[in-house]
Amino acid sequence: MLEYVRYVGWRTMCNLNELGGIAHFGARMAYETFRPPWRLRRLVDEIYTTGVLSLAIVLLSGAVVGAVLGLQGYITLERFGAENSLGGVVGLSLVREFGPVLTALLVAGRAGSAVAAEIGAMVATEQLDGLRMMSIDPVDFVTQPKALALTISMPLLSALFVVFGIAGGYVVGVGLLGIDGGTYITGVEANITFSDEVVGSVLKSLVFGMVVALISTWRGYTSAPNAAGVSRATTGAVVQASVVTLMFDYVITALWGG
Amino acid sequence: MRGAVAEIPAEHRIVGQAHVEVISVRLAFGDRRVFDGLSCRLANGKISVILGASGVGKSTLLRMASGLLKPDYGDIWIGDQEITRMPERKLRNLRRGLGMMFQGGALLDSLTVFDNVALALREHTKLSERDIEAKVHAQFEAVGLKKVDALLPGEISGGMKKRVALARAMIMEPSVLLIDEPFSGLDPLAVRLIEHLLVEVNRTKGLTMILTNHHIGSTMRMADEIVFLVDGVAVTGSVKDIKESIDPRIQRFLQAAGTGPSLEEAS
Amino acid sequence: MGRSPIRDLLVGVFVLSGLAALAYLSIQLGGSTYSGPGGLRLYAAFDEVGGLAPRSPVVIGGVKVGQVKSIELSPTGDFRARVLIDIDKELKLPDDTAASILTQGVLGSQYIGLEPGGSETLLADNGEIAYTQSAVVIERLIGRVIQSLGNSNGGGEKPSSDSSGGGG
Repeated sequence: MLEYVRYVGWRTMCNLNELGGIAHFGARMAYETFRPPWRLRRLVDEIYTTGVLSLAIVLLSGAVVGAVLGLQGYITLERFGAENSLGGVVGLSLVREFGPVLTALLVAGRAGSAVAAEIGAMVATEQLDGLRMMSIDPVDFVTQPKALALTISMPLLSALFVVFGIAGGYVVGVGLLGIDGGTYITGVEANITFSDEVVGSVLKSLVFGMVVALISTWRGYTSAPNAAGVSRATTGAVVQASVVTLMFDYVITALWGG
Repeated sequence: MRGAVAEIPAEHRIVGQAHVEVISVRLAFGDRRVFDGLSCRLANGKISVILGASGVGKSTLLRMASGLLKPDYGDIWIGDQEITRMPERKLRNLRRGLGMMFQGGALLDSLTVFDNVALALREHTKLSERDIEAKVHAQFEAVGLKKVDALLPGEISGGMKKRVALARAMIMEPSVLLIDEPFSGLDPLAVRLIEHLLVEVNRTKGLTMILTNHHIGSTMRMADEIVFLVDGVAVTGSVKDIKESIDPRIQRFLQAAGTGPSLEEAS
Repeated sequence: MGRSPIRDLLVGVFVLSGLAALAYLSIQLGGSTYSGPGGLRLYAAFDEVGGLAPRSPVVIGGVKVGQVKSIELSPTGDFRARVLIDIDKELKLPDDTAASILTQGVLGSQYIGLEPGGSETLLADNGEIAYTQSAVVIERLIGRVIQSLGNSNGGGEKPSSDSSGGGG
């Protein structure tokens, strides 16, 4: 019994320790973000690998999710004879939830895993130690541009996801199911307000971007210097980033008064 | 390479008594005790080779001397500075006088070979791009590399990687060069080449060179001093001392290496 | 990393299209202003606006011509709702135009439909639409139906009587 209590205490200390480590790590990256040199070159390269390379999967998923929402929404709304509200349903769902959340999950899987794996491999091949020996801080030189690129890419990807989703809903609702195009667009426009939906959506995707960025760089940075460590870091980054994203989604929705 | 000393601020160079001293170091990974009161002095301007069976902590000792790894107990001095309790920021300053060549090269694989070597110059000096290019190319020449600038580390051979790593470790004109297993994974010819290169660098620059090595042959040829690690402690001496040592552990090691194929491989 | 013009271009395209998407969401969809021309402001008073909200569309014959700017209680103290709408100023609306609050489908969002009359005189800016028809509040309607069914047969009022708005 006492042994169990001691075990719980030890685990708690470990978790608190880890949490403190992440917080300190995040703070260091935030500090380096606002301190010269700014490493624009590296940032652009990282936006390419995190943002541009995630574009295909995000746009495709956006269009498909929009189409599914259009179909499902239509089937449900038709029962109440309210199929003309389809635009509002599709638009609101996308902007409030599906855009930021699904984009974050996709980016965590596509780019977050790549970031964790790359940093983990750099740990395993002593590249980060190599930087340290050149008096270069790996947090500043390696992880910060990656984290910043993820944070910048996320709202942009999320916005594109929403736009493609609305287009996907349009194709299904208007093209296949015969709703009037003007009604659909009007429905979207009438239900989305800047101050509530759009600001909330951008806020969400920014926070999710930070979550994915922080967790994937941290897992890579603290990965054990061997192949098993890298694979654990990669899986851990995706799983943790996804779960924390969903938890933050609830918190933000509750606080924002969705 | 030449005339570069002037650009590096004086406080970043470990001048004069550039040597490394390890005092009563203890270290354990979990339950596995690696060092148990290890002490050794690594002489200024000499080539010191850390020798020992695999798993005895050769690389670990090197990592501690670079400040990458902190011992559980004990002091490590580089020049007149103690590094085990040094904050990372001060350590960063100190490392401008340290060069390290990692076993796998540790080259950043997203950067070209040229950018890898130029990186420290770009980060820490205000040299123009043309001066940097001249210095990097002079360094390449010194290690016998040609036309590799635009290649990525993944595109060159192991021997070339070692040379690039050496060029990168040397570019800031360090006074202490730490080298982890310079000959691992190399063919006998490449071993000879790297060996000559290291000896030449040591003779012309007079820098303190500490390397780990499990090749007896090359060790005996190049070492000024040998630090033999066994059972968590160090036995230090000249090549002659070690060869004539009556310590049974050393004799066993040398005999095993001498009769095995590794002597042939290394020579 | 070597400078790669194509990569830089792709990053530029990505960032710009992402910003364009954000702008589209903010201005076109979530825009605080009606994207159409606007410029003609009219008031209309209703007994009941139901689910009508600012930015609800204003349509003529199914075509969107403007949107609701604000909804507040009438300043005259008669407890009616006064709705300010902003529509295309090019429209020449006769002063006997009627405004009704309509619903898209049964449970859909609500909007204002305008039906131009045949008068010669036109509505001026900040004018008042005289003929209005209030929103149908579904819950109340259902309540009535249930009530009338409960009274075995509806000898009383018709369920739709509430929906006929007051003129003024």
